[in-house]
Amino acid sequence: MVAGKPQDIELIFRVDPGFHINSHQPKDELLIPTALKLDEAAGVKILSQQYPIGAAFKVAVGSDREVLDVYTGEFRVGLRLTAPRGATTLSGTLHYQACDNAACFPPRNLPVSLTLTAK
Amino acid sequence: MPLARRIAVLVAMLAVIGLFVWAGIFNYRARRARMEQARQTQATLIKDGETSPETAPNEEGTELRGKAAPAFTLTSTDGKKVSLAELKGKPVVVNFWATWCAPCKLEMPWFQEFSQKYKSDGLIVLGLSQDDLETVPKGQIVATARKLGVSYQILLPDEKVAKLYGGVDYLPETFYVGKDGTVLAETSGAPSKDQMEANIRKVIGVGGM
Repeated sequence: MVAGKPQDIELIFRVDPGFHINSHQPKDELLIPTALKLDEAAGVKILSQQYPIGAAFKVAVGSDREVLDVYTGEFRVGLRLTAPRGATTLSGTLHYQACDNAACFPPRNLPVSLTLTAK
Repeated sequence: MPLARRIAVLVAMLAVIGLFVWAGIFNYRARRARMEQARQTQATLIKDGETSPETAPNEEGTELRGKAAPAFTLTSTDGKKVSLAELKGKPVVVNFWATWCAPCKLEMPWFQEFSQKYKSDGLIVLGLSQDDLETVPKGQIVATARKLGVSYQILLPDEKVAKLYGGVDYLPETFYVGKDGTVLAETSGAPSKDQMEANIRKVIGVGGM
């Protein structure tokens, strides 16, 4: 990275086969959106976050159907940021709530840590 | 038929029967060996640090089917204290759900339907919310239940109760409690409507016992 200049990076996440998590903008306000929360790090400025658009997923229970907006498989969260010269560790969590076809797990936080090296 | 020929036929028949018996034993042993081999090579793939769902014990170390349903007293959304012990003598459905759980919300109207259908049998359905009250206010739980057309009692969350029922880490999770307070059936994940009704009929004592 170039120190002090806005740069774009992508964080790649993978949802295990058979599961899905809500997208960043689920259709139902009660559903828990996937959201990346990064801790403050000296000299690092997060300018924006970009989440991918989710895919339609039909929950099939009996003859009823509810269409959700979800991430499955690999998805990428884009970050536009500036970083100071040298190596800086950026930490945080990805908040998500996973389900399979018939049931759901409670919301969880996945620890995220990355090292930015800027010259 | 001459005696010598009769003896020859008898010996031949015994030989054939013996062959069948030997083949049967041989096949049985071979089948057992194959089954044993299959059993040894069979593996369930699970994530690191997780326990196989088939063998996952609850906090008390066992599944609850056949055991007394753990006692609890919880507050309903309308402020009443609801105690499972006080419902002894009635068939009770203890359904753990959450506002963020889509499959839960698909099955809840079925519980509503059956709570009316089997009202005369004394069926009680309790919906135990597993929401985090810090992020999901009580009003939202009430509004969700109302939107789903649910009129049975919705109880506010208590982590201790969930632990008594095995942690309830996979919603919806439902315990069907018989009139004597014993758990007769339990399901993780949304069952079919027919399975749900079969379990309800089990606890009210109509067939399937």
